[in-house]
Amino acid sequence: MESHPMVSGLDNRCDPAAGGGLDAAALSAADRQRLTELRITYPEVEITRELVQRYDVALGRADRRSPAQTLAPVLVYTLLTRPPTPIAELQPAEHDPPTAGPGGGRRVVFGGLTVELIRPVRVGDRLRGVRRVHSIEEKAGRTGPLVIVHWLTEFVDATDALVLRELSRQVIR
Amino acid sequence: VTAGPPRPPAVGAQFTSHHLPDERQLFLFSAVTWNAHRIHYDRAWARHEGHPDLLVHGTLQGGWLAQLAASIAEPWGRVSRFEFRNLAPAYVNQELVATATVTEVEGERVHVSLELRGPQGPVTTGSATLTPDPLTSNPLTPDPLTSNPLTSDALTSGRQTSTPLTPARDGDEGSDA
Repeated sequence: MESHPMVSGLDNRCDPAAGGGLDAAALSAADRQRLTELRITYPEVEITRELVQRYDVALGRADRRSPAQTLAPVLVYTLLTRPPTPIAELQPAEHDPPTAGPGGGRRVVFGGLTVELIRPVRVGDRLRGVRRVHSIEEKAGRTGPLVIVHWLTEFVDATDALVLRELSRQVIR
Repeated sequence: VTAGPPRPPAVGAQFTSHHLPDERQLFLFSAVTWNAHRIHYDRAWARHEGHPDLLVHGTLQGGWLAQLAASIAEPWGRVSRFEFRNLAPAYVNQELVATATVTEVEGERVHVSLELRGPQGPVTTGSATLTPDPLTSNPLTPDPLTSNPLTSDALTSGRQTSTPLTPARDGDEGSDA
């Protein structure tokens, strides 16, 4: 099964590995357009019991779920949104390519998320998703100008029914 | 994580969980989430970025809050909405305490506020909405020993609701976590 995310609308100025940059103070119209054209698709992945157990262990859960416990952890879907980027392309200070930001020396931080679970994710579900820019804000922060990118991520199940929607915030200083 | 009640909790009920993340846990969480950011496993790099020690992942902190919310709901329901926001860095080998407080009971929905505190104060805040899970085997009846305004009628439906997602409030500049 293909496990790499598919990215469209991403050119080298938005590729963190390429180090392209946004204007220091704000987004240009071209930068804004590039971001809004991004579409990242996450191929179908099964939420297996092993995946859930690994996530449980990483969270520090000491006990094992019983076979009757099929509800997956709330944020288990986040395991599906990290592209398996080749090591040579990883940037030491960036942690979520290709949505890691514009590069160019600007600092990108995670600003939290909101997730609505239309139905619970359960072991055995097969989920696939799409992430795109929902909105972009520019504002003055305590330490200078900020760009806040809101990313909307949606996952559907094998029947194409919407399972969850996530709105996450990315702050670019 | 404190075991959740067999029935929906009343307003004001509190639940806590304690966490002491060490280097191994940060490594495992980086691995399972495919997170190569060096501030979580390379102490020298973390210091290079201006931190005194390895940072606890923001999503690990969020995961703990979600886990606590789920533990409250698990006997009778599930988490239908969850949000969190990192306020300040949290560092390896520091104890973090997650607290969930039931703030409102609205029909069949229970609203919970969430906070993770470190030695210096809150590091992550959030909230969750808990709703009955139609697949749970437990009866969805409120605890008669509390003043919970829930009613049995309100809780026996497995109706799922969907509300628009809205961006978090302004003023947050994010966290390196």
